[in-house]
Amino acid sequence: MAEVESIELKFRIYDGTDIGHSNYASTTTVATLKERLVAQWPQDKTVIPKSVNDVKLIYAGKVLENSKTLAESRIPFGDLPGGVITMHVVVQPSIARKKTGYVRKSFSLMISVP
Amino acid sequence: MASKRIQKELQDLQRDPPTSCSAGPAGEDLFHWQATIMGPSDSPYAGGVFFVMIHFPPDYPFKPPKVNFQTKVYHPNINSNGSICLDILKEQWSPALTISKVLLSICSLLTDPNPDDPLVPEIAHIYKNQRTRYEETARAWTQKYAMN
Repeated sequence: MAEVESIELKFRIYDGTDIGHSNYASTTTVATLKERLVAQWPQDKTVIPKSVNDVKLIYAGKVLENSKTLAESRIPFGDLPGGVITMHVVVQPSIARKKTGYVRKSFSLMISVP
Repeated sequence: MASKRIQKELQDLQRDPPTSCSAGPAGEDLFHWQATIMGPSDSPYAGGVFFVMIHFPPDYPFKPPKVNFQTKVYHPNINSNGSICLDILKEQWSPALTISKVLLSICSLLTDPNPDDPLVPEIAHIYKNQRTRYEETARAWTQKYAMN
């Protein structure tokens, strides 16, 4: 159970493009995966995530949790011998984060005034 | 028979899923699935992630799967219980259809409601007569229920 396996994954984004095609250790967390995807996001897209919080990873109809590893995110009956698994990435900037953005902006304005 | 077919559909979905949908078993029961539908970009549901439950009958694919929205949707053909009014889930079902095709048809239904065969007549009426109001409400519900 504890042994590290390699899982071949790719990630499908909103326009059908696949990104991040690679082998990942089964101990990789969802949060780490998201960091890698945000860092290597194709910059010619109309939708570009600013941070890990803007991104949801969806696999087999479920939104994956940041703290879980790939091994823990597996599904029953999901074994795919020799195949690449395709997950979905959804960019969804939350309203709460937009609000924080505004607060920060006005805050920096306050310091820069004097 | 049914389980073999469902397993095959699962493998195909893992290898090459449609861009706008994802689906797989919800737990240990192969006949009970969970799916997500990404709101089509050319609709007021854009940006939303909608959860859907799927139950396969024991005689699948000869009988259609039962498909229900878990996320609230403002739509003429989807009611407050999440029931969907779609011909291929009823009399137009064919064993040649797959879950992938069903989910894609639901995506098309989101983009193009069918107000002449409504499940929620009030929403169908608004869709027909006050399109802007329909779009605003659908967008507001998407923000509220499908974007957190």
